[in-house]
Amino acid sequence: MTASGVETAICVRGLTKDYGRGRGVFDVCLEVAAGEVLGFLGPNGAGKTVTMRHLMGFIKPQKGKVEILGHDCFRERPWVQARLGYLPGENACMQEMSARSFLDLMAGMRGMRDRSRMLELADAFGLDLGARIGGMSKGNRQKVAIVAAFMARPDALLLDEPTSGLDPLMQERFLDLVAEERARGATVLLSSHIFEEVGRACDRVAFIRVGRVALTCAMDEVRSMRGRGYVVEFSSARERSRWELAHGAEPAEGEARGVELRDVRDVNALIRELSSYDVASVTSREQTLEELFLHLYEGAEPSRQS
Amino acid sequence: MILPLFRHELRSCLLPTAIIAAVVILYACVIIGMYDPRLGESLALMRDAMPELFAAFGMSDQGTTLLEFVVNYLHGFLLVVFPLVLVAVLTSRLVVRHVERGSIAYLLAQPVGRTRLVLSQAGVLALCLVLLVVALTAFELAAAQAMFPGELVASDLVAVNVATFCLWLFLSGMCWVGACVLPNVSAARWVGVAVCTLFVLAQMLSGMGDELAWLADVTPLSLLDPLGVASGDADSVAGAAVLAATGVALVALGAAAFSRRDLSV
Repeated sequence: MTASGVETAICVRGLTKDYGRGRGVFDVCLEVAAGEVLGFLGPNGAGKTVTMRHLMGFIKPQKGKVEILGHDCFRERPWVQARLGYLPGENACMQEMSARSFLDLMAGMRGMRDRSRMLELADAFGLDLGARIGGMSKGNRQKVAIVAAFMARPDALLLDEPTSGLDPLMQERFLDLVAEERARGATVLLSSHIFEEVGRACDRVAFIRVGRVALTCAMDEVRSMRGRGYVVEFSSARERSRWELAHGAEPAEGEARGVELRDVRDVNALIRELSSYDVASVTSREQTLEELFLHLYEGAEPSRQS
Repeated sequence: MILPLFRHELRSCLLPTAIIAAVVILYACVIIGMYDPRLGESLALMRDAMPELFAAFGMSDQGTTLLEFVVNYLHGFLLVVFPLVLVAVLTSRLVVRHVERGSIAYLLAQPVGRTRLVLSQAGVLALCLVLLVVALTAFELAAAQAMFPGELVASDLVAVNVATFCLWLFLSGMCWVGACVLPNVSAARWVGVAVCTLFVLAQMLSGMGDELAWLADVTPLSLLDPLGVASGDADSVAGAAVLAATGVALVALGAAAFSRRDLSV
């Protein structure tokens, strides 16, 4: 059970796997309640995939406990896999097979007789089941992997970079599918770098860094913490130097006229200040997840599990 | 056994099995065709001129019957090396390639135990070898019957080929255990094959003279005595049984190790 009293579907406690030289995961703790979608975020090599592999029972933990629906992921693999859908980060479907034969093989190994959900998903994603996987684009191969992960209507789903290679329309369809699965009551652990994807799909988010979970918080909190970045293009390099001097920075050499301002919270103050300069243009962008994560991590409060 | 996977893998392994079967059947038919006392005399002359070379390839004794002739020229080398090539190809296809390409992640994501998965794959290898030995025996019998009616006793040839199949099981076990246990893909693909090749080389060298005869004691291949099995010699039957049992034990060991190892896929 989680702190809020909801049954825990995915439970990782004190998971440690040390590959040496600082690689691996160390004392990782994660809890995902039944019917919840947890975003799992972190830079490359942070330990997301290693954690996923433990949950899949591919790797035996050195220390700690890894359970899905109350069953040990390594010792009770067949029981866990029967209730689990997995979308690997590295798409390695059997390339010599057609999409239909590959999905039929996966369904056959699961003992699935009813192929209606498989056909429904293939149709929703516009997947040509007769095409050979080896001849498909990366996006189409990803569609095959998505159908394979979702077709058995599993109780829990582990999705590692699920929209990698998908075009925006298919990314939308995928997010709708995750919402549909959540509404059905499935538990989802989703690793991604795309803020909009995590923002739309997830209830909570966990940040992992150098093998340790640095922060876990609700998605609403993340949204409220997210700042914007601005690129200000001054009319001349002299004007840019004047700005930099006023902000206590050493003026950069060269003729560049732009400066980048990160994590701006008070936009009105920025506009007021810029009014005393000769500005050619101002463009804005939202903080990326990694920028936000670094910001949160540097001044972070302790990790909270809710 | 996992039937859908077994069927899929069997389909993908039939082509290499058919190619090797065609080659060994061709050799078998040619060698049966060469059974001619007059040609035998010229072969005997060649053997007398190069006794070490003939002995190295297991052809030291031409024999007096068609069965002895076939065993001497076929089972000592060709029916060891070609099946070893097939075992290496199939082991790579059934285990190593899935790990190398990452497709093992999809197989392991299904609700089947790893031991069952590996034993199902081993079943494909075993069935391919059974198909090979059955096809070989059938063609050998047909060729002998067509060319030398009544010269070859079917039960003796079956006994010889069953003994040879025991050796193939041993070679399979060696390659399989390496493929299942070793984490490095190249090592998994080649270590078992390399060890088997060393055994074959030791067997060849042991026949090249008294100084190297001790090598027969270090290669398990010397346990195989097909003609002894055909004549019902207890030691020969036991030798073949030990080879088969060791092969099966090595496959089981590989399956057990595979179910416990970490797979970073």
